[in-house]
Amino acid sequence: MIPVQREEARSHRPSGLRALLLGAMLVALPACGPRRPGLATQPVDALLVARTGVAAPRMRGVDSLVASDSVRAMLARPLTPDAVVRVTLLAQPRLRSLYEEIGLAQADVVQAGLLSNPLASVDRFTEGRFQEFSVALSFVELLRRPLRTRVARARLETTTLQVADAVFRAVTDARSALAETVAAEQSLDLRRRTRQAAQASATTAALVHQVGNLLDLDLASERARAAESDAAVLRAEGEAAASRERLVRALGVDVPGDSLRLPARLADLAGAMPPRDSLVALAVNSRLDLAAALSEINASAREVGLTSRFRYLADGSLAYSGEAEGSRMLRGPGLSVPLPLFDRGQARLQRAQAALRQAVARQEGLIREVRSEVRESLAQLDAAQRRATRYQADVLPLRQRVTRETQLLYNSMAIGVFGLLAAQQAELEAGQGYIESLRDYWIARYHLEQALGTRIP
Amino acid sequence: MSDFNHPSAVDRRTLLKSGAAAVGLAALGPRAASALAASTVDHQAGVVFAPGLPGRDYTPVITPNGAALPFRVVQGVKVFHLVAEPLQHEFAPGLTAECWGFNGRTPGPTIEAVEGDRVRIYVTNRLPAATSVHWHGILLPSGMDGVSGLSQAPIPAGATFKYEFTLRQHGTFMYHSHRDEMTQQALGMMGMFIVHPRISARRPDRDFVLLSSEWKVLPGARRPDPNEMLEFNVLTFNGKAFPGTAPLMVKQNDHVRIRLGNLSAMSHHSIHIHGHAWTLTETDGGVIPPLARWPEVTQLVPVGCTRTMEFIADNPGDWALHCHMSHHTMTQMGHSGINMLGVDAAAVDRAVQPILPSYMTMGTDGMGDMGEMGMPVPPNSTPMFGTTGPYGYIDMGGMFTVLKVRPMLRAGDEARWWEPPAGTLAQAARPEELARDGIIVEPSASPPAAPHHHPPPPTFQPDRPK
Ligand SMILES: [Cu+2]
Repeated sequence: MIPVQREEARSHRPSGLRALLLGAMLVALPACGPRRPGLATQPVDALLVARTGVAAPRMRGVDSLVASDSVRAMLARPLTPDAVVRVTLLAQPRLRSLYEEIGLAQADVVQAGLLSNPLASVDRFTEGRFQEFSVALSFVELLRRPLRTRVARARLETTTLQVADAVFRAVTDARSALAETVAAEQSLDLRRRTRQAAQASATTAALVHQVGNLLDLDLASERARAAESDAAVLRAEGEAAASRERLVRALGVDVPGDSLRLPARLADLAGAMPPRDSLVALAVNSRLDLAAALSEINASAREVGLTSRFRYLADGSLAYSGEAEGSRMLRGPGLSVPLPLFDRGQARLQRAQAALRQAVARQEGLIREVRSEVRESLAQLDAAQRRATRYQADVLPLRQRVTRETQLLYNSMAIGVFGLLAAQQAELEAGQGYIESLRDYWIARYHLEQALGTRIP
Repeated sequence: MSDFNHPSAVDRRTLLKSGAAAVGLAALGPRAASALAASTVDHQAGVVFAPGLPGRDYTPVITPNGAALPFRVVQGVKVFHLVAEPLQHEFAPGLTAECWGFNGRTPGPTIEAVEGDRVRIYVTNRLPAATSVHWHGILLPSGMDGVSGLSQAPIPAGATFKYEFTLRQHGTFMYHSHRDEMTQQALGMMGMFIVHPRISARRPDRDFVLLSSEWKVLPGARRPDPNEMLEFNVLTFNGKAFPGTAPLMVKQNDHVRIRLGNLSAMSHHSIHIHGHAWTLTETDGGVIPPLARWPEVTQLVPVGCTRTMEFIADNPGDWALHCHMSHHTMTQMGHSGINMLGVDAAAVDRAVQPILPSYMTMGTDGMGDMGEMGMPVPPNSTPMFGTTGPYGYIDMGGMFTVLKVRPMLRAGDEARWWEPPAGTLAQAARPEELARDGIIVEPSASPPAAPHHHPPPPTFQPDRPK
């Protein structure tokens, strides 16, 4: 880093005090050289790779063209959960806005390293010249600067963790939105097939009624069922379209929802869960908001240290000043400090201590919530998994069996075509129940991942 | 027909000759039989005739698909042993059920005896429930009547009871459970009890026994449902539904007797004979005086009754003998569903097959072909009717059997169809015949019925569950 000499440092004729001031500035300079403020997002990426299992290059600025190409390429294929993460990381403006929190915190670090500019003044312009001058520099800031920087760095770390936490939540939400959208599409497909069966039933009823073999009542019932099944399709269409738009927002892309390509079906149930206690321990180690809360305690503690060290010396500056004395200019160094008579820094200290206690309490509350959230998500996941398994292992095969048996009875003319189509509709209804349970399973899984703060091992 | 006039007067000397072998027994029935009961001998208290023997004293009956209950004579008494027990019974090929019956069958074996016989019948109960046996129509001491709780204590599971009485009448009778009748009869606890006259002017050449009953066995189920009151779907002669019924084999000009009994839970049956007229000669109350007999071709047999029919089988051929209630000549299937007659089958197929590829519309032109379609049906069930006959499918089931009258009876005739002499078979009319007889057939305004049963689509898989 090349320190840039500043104009104000090259002031008046050198003297002892001038040398002292200059020296102080030189000490201060290395930390405050201006540089292009690139976002330090690598720590966030590192945190996310471990948690999502997806390595996602993120690009900004000129890279955004490349990024949008690669987003387009990913949108051209049916979205997988991993693709959803990549697209979100690349495309989601909300995430870019989140990352700027890091930029803000980074700027705070830089700001913390900067000294206030020396105050130069010239006074009493009479008789064709200034009769007084002074240059003053706060030496207290100089002393406070290392501690202040450390506090800002701690806050940057807190912010980085908070951002990583929010990004992790965002990509997990996007995965969850994908599951919901796929489920909505599958439901829509089942609703349409149910409608087809109900319409076949109504068509048959009309044909049977037409030749005089069916009650008006039965025909009306069949028609009512067909119309109801159509209404159900319309509802499912609305839900499918809405869920596509929710996915669009989760991804942060700028395309209409109906252009999204989706996988044909939800993934099957994943493997068995690790034991509950190990998951609770994992969450305590992995949750980024928990790490952020700890980091916040660290930052607050440093803040307390800083405040308490400079409790009585809130400010103070060294000055070099001169005054015209006839044709001579009398000049010399000076010192000014506030006398801690009234404000002895107790309020600032109190405030910093309160903030520390607050951070500690927040962390303590959060850790309890984390443990409970893990247990809650696990309970929901477990219930959804058992429900989906019940459907998969029993309900669906039994409903298929019912249809087969009904077909056999139909072949025996022990029941009519309407009973057969009703069995088929019940089978489709069971499929609906299965899709819903599988959807709930995946949503519960993503909830659990959010509760754990990382992937399920 | 007056051929079947029973001897109305009894030759006293014949009676005494037979009665000479009578042995005295201590157990006494009431002295006077009912005035209407058929009797060919004078029943005096304590007098028992020598046990009647098959061949010598009577021509044994034929129980198609059934059996006769064997007996032994012990000190002048005919001893029988009935064992009430659960069993597997086949109603028709493909339909077997868990039934209850006697000696491994339902109906139980036919008991055969002769008027004046002393019979001792042991009943062993191997059922899981108590039972009792009522000797339906037989005149006997009240304590032998078999009504559980009224005439006797129920026979507990595992116990053997002894019934003993002297037969003071002849005729066609039955036996059945009289304990929890609804359950036990619905499961098959019944049989025929034939008492031949001691003296007979003319014995029939062929003497058949047909006991009717009705069952509710859901397609695919394995046990008759005793709770059923109306919707019986298996109707049987001697426990068999056509094509499970064995034909009645008769030689031309045989004097044939058919004893019809009905122990259905709820249904009377109109039993109809083809190719012959028959005469009702006896009811379960006794012999009908010749002048009162009623020639006819269809005899109603009410629940709990027997009717004895006689005729000369003078008309050779294969003749249907069946209940005329049309739902009684169907089996399990086709009893419910939607009336599809006249419906546009192709249009329904188009609507339904996209959803159910193995679906095909049935019944739009009736049900005559349903039995032969060979569609997959539930396991342990039988098509609503039928089997293949000499001229196509015989779309009859249930209470349907065939009376085969042949000039000569040869081994294997049961499986042979009648070969009609030239000119005795209905056939399509030839144009020259139509022209000769002035029959003008207007061409149909509408095209002939479309192929009624659409072949299933190529993807059709008979998806019978494993
Ligand atoms: Cu009938």
